[in-house]
Amino acid sequence: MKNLLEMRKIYHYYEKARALEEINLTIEEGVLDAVIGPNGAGKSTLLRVISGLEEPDRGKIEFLGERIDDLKAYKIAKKGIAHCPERRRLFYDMTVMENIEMGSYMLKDKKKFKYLLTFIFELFPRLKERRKQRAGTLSGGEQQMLAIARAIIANPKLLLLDEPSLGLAPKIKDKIFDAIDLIKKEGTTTLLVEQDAVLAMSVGETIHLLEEGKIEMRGTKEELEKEPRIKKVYLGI
Amino acid sequence: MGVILEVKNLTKKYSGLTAVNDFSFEIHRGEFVGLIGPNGAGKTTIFNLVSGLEKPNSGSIRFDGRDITGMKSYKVVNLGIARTFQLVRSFKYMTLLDNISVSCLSPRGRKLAKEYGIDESASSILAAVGLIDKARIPPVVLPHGDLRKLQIGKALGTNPQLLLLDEPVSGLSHEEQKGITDLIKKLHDDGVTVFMTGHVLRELMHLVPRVIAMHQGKYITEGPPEEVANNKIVLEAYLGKGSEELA
Repeated sequence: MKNLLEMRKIYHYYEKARALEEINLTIEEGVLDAVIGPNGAGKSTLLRVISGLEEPDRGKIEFLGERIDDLKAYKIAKKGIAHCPERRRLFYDMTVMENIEMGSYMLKDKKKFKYLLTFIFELFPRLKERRKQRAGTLSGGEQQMLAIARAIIANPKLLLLDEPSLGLAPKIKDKIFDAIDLIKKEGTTTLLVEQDAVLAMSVGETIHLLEEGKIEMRGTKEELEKEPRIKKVYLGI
Repeated sequence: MGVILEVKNLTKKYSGLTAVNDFSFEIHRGEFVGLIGPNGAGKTTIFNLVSGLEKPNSGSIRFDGRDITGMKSYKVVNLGIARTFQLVRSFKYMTLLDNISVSCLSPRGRKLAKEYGIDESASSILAAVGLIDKARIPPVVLPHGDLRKLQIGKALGTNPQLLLLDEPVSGLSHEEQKGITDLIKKLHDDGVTVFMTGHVLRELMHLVPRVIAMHQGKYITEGPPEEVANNKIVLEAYLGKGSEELA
C-alpha cells in the first residue's frame, strides 16, 4: 500500500512547554489508525500540526509525497485533509444542512456531493430528520454526527477525527463508532485521536500510544492489549 | 488527627447537568490528599463549592467544625481555606511583592504579619515559593512555572489551614513541575493541609499518600494511589468501558 502521510521527527512547543517530541508516524492509504493517550499527552496537537493549525517547530510532514508542514491550513485542506476538531466547533447558528454545505465549500463535483450526502444521511438518519434545524439546538451526540458529516462531505483523502466520543453517553459513543467503522469500510483513510483507549482499540488497525508528546509504543489491538504500559500511562502508576 | 473538612452528600446542578452528585468525603488535619478524575469529572466544581465560589443545590460542607455551606468566598478565606485556580491570574502590573502583599492584607494575613509587618511577611512568602530574587518584577514578564508559584504564594498570604490547589502542575515543563511539587511537599511538611487535583496523574499519584477518585460528578473510591489505580471503575473512567480486558 501507498503511504498517504509521513511525519518525520516532528517537534512542537507551546512557548517552553514541549507538546510533541520526535514524532514519527506513517499512515498508509485506506487504513484507520488511532492515537490514544491521557489528557494533555499531545493528541490534539498532533492533529493540529498535520492540518496546519499549528506549524511544527521541527521536522517534516509529507502528504502524498509532497511537503505540507510549511503550508497554511486552508492549503492543506485543499490538498484533501479534513479535520474534525475536538468539541465539534460547529456553526451553531446555521442549520444542519448549512453546516454540511460549509464542509463542501471546495467540492465542485455536484454528483460527488449528492453521493456523499446520501452516504451521510444513511450513516446518520438523525441529521436528515433535522437538516433544517439550527445546529446549536442539537444534542451532543447529534452535534458530533454533524461535525463528522461536515468533514466527510469535503471528500477528504485523509480524515482527522479528534475525540469523537468526548462527553457522550456510552450508547451514543457506540453509534458514533459504528459510523466511523463504516466510513473506514467506505475507503476513507482516517486518523482517530481518542482518550477512550478501549473504544479506539476496537476500531483502529495500528494504535499509537502517546505520552507527554512522545509515541511510547504502537501496535495492533492484540499487541497492545497485553501491555501493562497503557494503564501506567493513563493512571501514572 | 481530627477532621478538618467534611463534605456530605454534596450536589451541584447546572441546567440539566449534575456536575457534582451526592458527593461525600473527609480530609484530616495535616493530610495531603489528591482528587482525581478524567476531564469533566467535577473536580473544579468541588473546589468551587468548598471555597465558596459557588453554592451547592444540596448537601453540607463543614470546615474545622463549622458549617460553611453556601458561605461567601471571602468569609471562607477568613476561616482559613485558600485556593489556586487552573488558569493563572495575577495583578499583572504590580510587583510580585505587592501581589503577595495584597493577600497579606486579609484578616488572617494581617495576623500573621503583625510582628514584622506586611512587607516582611510577603517577602518571607516569596522566599518560601522561590521567587524572592524577582520581588520587584511584575508577573507579566515571568514564565508560566513562576506564575504558578506566585499563585501558591498569594494563597499562602492569607495564612490558610487548608490549601486547595487546582491543577497546579498542568501545562508546565518537567523541570517546572518538579519545582512546584517540591514546593507543595515543603508546604505540607510545614503543616498545611493540602488538597489538590490533577488530570495528568504522573506526578500526582507519586506525590500524595491518599487519593479520592471521581467520575461524572460521582464519588468512585479512595485510598492509596496504587489501590485506586487498580479499581475497576477508575480504570473504566480513564481508559473506557471494557478496560478490565487490558493487561
